Amino acid sequence: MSKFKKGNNGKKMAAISTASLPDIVFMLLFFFMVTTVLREVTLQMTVSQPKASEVKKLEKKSLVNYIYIGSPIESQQDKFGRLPCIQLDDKLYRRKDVSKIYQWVKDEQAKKDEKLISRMTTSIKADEDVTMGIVTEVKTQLRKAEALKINYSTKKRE
Amino acid sequence: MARRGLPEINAGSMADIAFLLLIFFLATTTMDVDSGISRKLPPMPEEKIETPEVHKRNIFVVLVNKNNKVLAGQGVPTNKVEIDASGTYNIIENGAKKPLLEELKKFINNRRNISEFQYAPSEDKCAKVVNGCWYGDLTKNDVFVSCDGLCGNEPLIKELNKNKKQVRTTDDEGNISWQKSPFKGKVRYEYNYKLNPLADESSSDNPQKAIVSLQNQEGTSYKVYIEVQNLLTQAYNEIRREYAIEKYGMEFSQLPNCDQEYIKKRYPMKISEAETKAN
Repeated sequence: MSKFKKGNNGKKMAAISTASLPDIVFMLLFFFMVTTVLREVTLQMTVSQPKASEVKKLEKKSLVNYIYIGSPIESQQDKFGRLPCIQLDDKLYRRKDVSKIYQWVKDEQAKKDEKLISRMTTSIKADEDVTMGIVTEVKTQLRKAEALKINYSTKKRE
Repeated sequence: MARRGLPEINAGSMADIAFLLLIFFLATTTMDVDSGISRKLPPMPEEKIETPEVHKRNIFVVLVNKNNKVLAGQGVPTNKVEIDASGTYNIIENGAKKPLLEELKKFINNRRNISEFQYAPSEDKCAKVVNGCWYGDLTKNDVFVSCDGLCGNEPLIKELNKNKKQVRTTDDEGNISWQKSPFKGKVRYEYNYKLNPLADESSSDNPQKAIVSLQNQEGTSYKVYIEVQNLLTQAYNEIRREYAIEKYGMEFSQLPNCDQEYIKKRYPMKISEAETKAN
């Protein structure tokens, strides 16, 4: 027992200064503020991506446009049905409105510097259960809009 | 007149505020990296332009039909492809089972005719000696032709310099002809044309000409399609990796950028995604 009391001798332990705590926290805060991408679309469909092993990372997120293909979630089903739909930003489109992609891509291209347009990539995030029919229609629209760099988004498989 | 004893603001709660913000950003940050299989689509033809004829031996067709069955073959997809329990794709050719991946690699790297590998170095920022052959460091628009089998071939280099603005081409029969160079500069090197005795006569001419055509139908499942896309990518990646190890003794991913570009040009990923066929 006395072992534990040794060295304490009734003196108070020196308090650790917490003055630099806000600085540390601010540092972390700035890190996360800088790395956070706030603008994320809310998915209105279920997309479970297929798996692949030979994947490449998508670089330059600001130059990537996303097209989602999948079946609408329940709250959207009375309006859009259950068949696979296309989502651009926050809007859903039926398969027959696939031509909307053309204008959407053109709008996105217009926002970017002319030099960067050729480096823009379109990431196709499609559910593994959709059929190629709709995917091909999307690809045809992208070809028309001259957005030729595409990426089939997949999950990594080891 | 300075005011005496400005009351100090208590900064004790500063940490709490910062923590609150920190937790907010921690919760909203998504750290996931997007990855996938990259492809380049062909541009939309503005008018009906006749597509250049591709010889049957230079095209390997893989078809995923509406029942998600895979068919493959040289020129036309006539051979069935089965998937065994371990997920390997096997092509059934004349009753024999061969892995599709190996068949693809063999097709791409057949090199029946190795005379046509050339490109303009203006796109090539790489200057170095590979396998005893000098390449790169050419003035803009000079034609660079890789020198497999040409090293130390003095007479041919002399002949090339004499015909500065011309490109030596050799047709399938081995007839040599000189044509006006499509490039502005002069030709420095030429490929020594030869029919590769080790190559399969009925398979692709060279990796630059070999096209893998992936066809699908309306009802093809996206999952199977991506699996096959993955397999095709794997074939090219393995060829590039094997070449990197053979020539540089290094993994492809560890090579400097310029060498990677060289290998990519040597083995361009030519995968054609034909439009969906109705049935």
